[in-house]
Amino acid sequence: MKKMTLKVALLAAMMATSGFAVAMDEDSYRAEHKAATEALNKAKKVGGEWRDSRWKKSTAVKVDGKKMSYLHAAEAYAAKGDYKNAMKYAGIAKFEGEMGYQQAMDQKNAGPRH
Amino acid sequence: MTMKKIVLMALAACLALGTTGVYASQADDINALRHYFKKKFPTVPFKEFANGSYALSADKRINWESMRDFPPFEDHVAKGEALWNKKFKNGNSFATCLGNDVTKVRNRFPHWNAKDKKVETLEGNIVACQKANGEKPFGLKKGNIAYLSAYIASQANGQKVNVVVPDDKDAQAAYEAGKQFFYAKRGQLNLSCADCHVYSAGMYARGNLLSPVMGHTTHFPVWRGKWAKKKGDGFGTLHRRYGGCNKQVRAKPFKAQGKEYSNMEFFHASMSNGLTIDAPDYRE
Ligand code: HEC
Repeated sequence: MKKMTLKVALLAAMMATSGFAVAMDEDSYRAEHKAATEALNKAKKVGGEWRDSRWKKSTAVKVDGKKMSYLHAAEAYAAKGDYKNAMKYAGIAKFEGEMGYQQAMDQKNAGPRH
Repeated sequence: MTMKKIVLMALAACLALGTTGVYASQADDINALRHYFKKKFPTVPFKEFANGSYALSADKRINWESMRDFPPFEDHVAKGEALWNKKFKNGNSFATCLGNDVTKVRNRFPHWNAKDKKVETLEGNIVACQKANGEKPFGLKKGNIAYLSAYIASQANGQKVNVVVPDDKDAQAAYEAGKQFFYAKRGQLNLSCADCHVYSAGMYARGNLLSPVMGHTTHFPVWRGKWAKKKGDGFGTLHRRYGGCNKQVRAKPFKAQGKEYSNMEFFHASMSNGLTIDAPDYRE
């Protein structure tokens, strides 16, 4: 009996924490997705978006045989509950947004150097 | 130096360039590139730059010349001619918008529209004409728009490109924006148009011989072997090519006939001033 309670308690605890972990993963993914979208919008405003961040014709990542952009891959993984991969690809999209914005700023006064 | 002398010298410089443009910065840009490419390719005559990479490699040229003997785009030009001659439902036609003399259309573009404060391109005006006449507009990169553009351009063959940037602050700003676009590094590969088509012209990038920017626009639309392998029939407009070159550096392409590419065309086509129109053409 005692053993049994312990098992149940353990199981309950495991379920709780794993559920909790999933919720956490989902929350951090949502935050990362939002940050990526914001970074990409900022890059877009200055004409600095890159090809594979979220362009609908991008073929950068293959998820279940379908090719897509990083942000779309993040969404596809999130839809399957794979938040680890969702986080990873949202992170790449965010990074590209930040870099694209920075690049456009650096190139604002670009001109010939010949 | 007297003022009169300065004016005369400036005039002489303009005449030497064969441009009637009034924007000094445009003339300077053209001059600088001509000097740059003359130094880089001392044996290539100026008029040859219209032929892109085929002016630079004897091997590639043989292939290109044999393609031109039996051009894969003759039907496309014929389709374009039919489109030019076809009446809209309201009885108008493209000539209503673009002028009756088809030989005088291609070379008026790109130009500055002072009223709407924007660069007008040939393809942009073709579509604007359709909209104004209640016709369904063509797509912007291939198909009918390329056929019609090819027919119109072919009727201007032999004329010299002469893009004029007028004495208008907004026109000059559009030109400068196009120039900045051309020289700005972009995409994950961090490369500018100039990195490939100015500084690396004549070198190979993944098996492709890079053409100099001077002469880039004289022969569009083009029939490309690479495009023929994709959906469509190998034919495409200048803005289709812009999109392809943006994608190559892993930048998101801009909309065909949008402000970015139209402004760039204003600058880009200027760099072909003085070269002869010879369209359409074959490219790898
Ligand atoms: C990574 C190098 C690279 C960059 C950067 C690049 N291109 Fe290209 N481009 C090519 C290659 C390769 C070709 C095919 C070979 C050739 O004709 O140069 C080409 C062809 C072209 C052509 C057709 C030339 C012809 O003779 O018909 C045009 C026009 C052009 N590029 C414009 C641009 C513009 C505008 C940009 C900037 C938005 C750009 N390219 C950026 C590599 C590049």
